[in-house]
Amino acid sequence: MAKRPCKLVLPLEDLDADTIREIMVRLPVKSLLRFKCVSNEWNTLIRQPDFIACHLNRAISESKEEKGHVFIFQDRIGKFYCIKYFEGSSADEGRVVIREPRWRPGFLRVRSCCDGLLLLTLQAPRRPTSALVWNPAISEFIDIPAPPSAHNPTAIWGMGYDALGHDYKVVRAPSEYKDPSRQAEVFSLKTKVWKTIDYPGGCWYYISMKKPVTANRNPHWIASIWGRDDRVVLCFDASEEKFVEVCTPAEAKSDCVRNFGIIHIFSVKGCLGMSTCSKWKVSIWLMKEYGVHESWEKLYTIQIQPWNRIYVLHRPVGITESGSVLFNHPEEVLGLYDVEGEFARNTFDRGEISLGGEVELIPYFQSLVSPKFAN
Amino acid sequence: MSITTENNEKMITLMSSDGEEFVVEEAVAAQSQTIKHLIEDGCSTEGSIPLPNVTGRVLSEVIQYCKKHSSSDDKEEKELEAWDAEFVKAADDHVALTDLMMAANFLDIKGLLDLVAQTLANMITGKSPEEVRRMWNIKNDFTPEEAEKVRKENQWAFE
Repeated sequence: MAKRPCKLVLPLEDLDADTIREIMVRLPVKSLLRFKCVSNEWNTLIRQPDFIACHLNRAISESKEEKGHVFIFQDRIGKFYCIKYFEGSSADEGRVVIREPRWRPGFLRVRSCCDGLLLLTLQAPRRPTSALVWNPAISEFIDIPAPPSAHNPTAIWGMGYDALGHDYKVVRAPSEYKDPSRQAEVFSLKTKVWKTIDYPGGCWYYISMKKPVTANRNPHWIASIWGRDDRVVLCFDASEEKFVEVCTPAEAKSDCVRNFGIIHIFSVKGCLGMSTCSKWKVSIWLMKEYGVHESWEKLYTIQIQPWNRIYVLHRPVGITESGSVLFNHPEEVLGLYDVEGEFARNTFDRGEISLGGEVELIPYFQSLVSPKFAN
Repeated sequence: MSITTENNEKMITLMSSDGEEFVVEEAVAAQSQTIKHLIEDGCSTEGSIPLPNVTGRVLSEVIQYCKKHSSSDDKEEKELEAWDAEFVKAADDHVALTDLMMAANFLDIKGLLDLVAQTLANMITGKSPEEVRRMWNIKNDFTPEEAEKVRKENQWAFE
């Protein structure tokens, strides 16, 4: 290694670019949007792709350590909300109503979330389902044209990050057995075209989950397999553009008599988790290191009781610092179950929100990533 | 000039931009990656290490931080967190913190950089662009048209 000069002389200005950057990368998105107005230098810095990526990586690692849990959901009439749960405070500290991208005929439904980008589908009468990708934090969206193939109302939709191509990809695939096409479609946000990919397993899987779970920046579903009692976890790998099965512990296998296998999957602190059910017990699992089979860990086993089953049979959405499990209660939105103390309670005050139907919470954090991909 | 103390700790001398000298244990100073590399490259043997970007006032604060954190192995994390909180509080205002941060950046002390950057970020999160400009004496170099355009694009962030 070459010797460094012993004398260190650097120009010292009031506030150098490194310092600005170190501060800015720690700011919330809304402050950064405002600070674009400070000066040309600040504006340029906040728009730089590598700054946006840096800010995103920080948000991703912070969401793993964060003590609070942030979710997005829609109410009965499709209005969007963002809620934060902090242990020891009311569930909706910082409840925000998010303005939709733009009014349009039809019903917007959030399908998937990756890196602060939401994939929404637009269902309108007598029209094929189209989609849009929206970043509510920066108020930017793009329309995605309807896929070229035939309209399939039961199709599953998901979105993932392609780390190789630095691209986001939307996937649409059949969800039912015996789909003759054996094909799925992928839309790249970068190239803005749909293409068809082979999906040979498609005819064997049945997927009833309407919204995938994002882990490792890719969407995951539970799939039932034709002719077998078992359920598997299916992942769309956006880099490879294919569906792959995620390994799960042998204990999660189903025999449909005593063991019901995987009943929910979820994403907590960036890790993929699942809950399994055998006759009178629910077990909560977490894959500590994505893709490593040995890293699956059973965190809790909960005896199902008449009084707690309204919670524990639902989808876990978070694990608090003190080790309680947050469940996505379909009517009450958020319920907390204290495993050790064996008590459960609602933690959400619905207030003015018109719930009705099932509310599905989606883990969320803000980012500067533009769906327009101008960067 | 390397001095050795009774308990065989190697000492080195750091010299600030205004000529103030600080004698510290090498282990303390080596928390700065910049200084560590300078020591490794043998720059300290010929005398003290000059730090032309850091004034004596700032350097004494930096050394305070490094001392606390170099002997922190057996300390409770909570205690150290409380100490850090007090430390940035004592720095008082954003000018002192900015000086400290630029020193941490130049000296490459990750823990201190994180601490001060987060403190400054928390300080400005809710501020307006005008307030931020005033804090650091930043010139608004937009033309009125540009300013209007950027403001309009991000209008909702002002609400």
